[in-house]
Amino acid sequence: MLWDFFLITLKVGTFAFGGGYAMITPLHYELVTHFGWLTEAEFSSAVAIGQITPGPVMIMVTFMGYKIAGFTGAILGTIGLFLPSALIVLAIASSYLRFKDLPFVQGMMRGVTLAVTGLLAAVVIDLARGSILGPIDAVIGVAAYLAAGPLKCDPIAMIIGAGAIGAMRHLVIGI
Amino acid sequence: MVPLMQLALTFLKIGTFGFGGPFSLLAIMEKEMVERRKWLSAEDFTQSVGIGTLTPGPIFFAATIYIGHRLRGIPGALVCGVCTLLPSFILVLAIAALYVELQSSPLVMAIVHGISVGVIGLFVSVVIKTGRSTMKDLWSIAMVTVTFILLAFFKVDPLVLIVSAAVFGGLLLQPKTKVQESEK
Repeated sequence: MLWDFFLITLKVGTFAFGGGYAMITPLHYELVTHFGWLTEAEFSSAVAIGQITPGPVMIMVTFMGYKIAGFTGAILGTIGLFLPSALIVLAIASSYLRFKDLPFVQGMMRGVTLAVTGLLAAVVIDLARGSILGPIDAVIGVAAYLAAGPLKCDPIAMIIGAGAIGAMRHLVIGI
Repeated sequence: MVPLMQLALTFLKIGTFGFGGPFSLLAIMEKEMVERRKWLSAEDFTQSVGIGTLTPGPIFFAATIYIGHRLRGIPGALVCGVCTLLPSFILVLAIAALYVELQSSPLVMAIVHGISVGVIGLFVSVVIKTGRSTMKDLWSIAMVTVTFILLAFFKVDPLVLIVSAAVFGGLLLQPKTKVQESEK
């Protein structure tokens, strides 16, 4: 079972294109639907833990691994899920170093950089659609931009502050 | 050259305090790498996000490996990858082992929502900085705008867009003179 679990994380880690969230559905299919190693409740608490803890959301696989096969499961699952991505990046990065002086490769990287700029801008729209639920959210969002941009606040302090504001809104005024 | 120890400490810091999902992590990384320590140019950072989108798995993690490799080769990539994951790995393991109940209570949801609103503002500032560094002429402004519209309003797969942008760029955006090359 340990070995099967490791292979599953390797497979998901290799083929889940589209960022970390693209890994959730295949993991759910394998671990809950197909093998039944995790209950629905365990799987959703793993997702919640991934979102609440710092760092990559996909660290949820550590929790899944522990539930399935203890400490060894946690380690193997984490390695299995993250290693393929690391190896593929290293392969790309080292071949980029070899070919980076070719005009075609330089043009490619320029194209990628421009597309990513558009992509990052589009992410803002998606994030705003999901999280700006009322006028208070909009005001806090604008304030956060002013703090991060013109005022050059530290992003870590800002994120902790934003969490604290969220907690206060819930506890004090209930919205 | 960036000392490995400093690289390790910086990524441990990002891994420990990087709450709020991938875009919060990217914003923190931009601040640390580009603005504060000046280990990377804004374009290098954007490139690392591009590589992260092209490869499977979490974009932030892939960008971390790329940056580690860029700064200190394979050892750098290893150090960055491990240090980013280690803090949350230990935390999640502790939560799992101690059977701490972390169900989504209303308070936790309120904190998560608060952070997600803050991340938007934070991320807008990253987008503006990125745009300033990459949009230098009409061509580049047009290309960023087209990508943005296709993604935001037509929901085209980002992977498809980045691959097409790479091919397009390779054919049409090659540097024209030696001067431009030495600038990079």
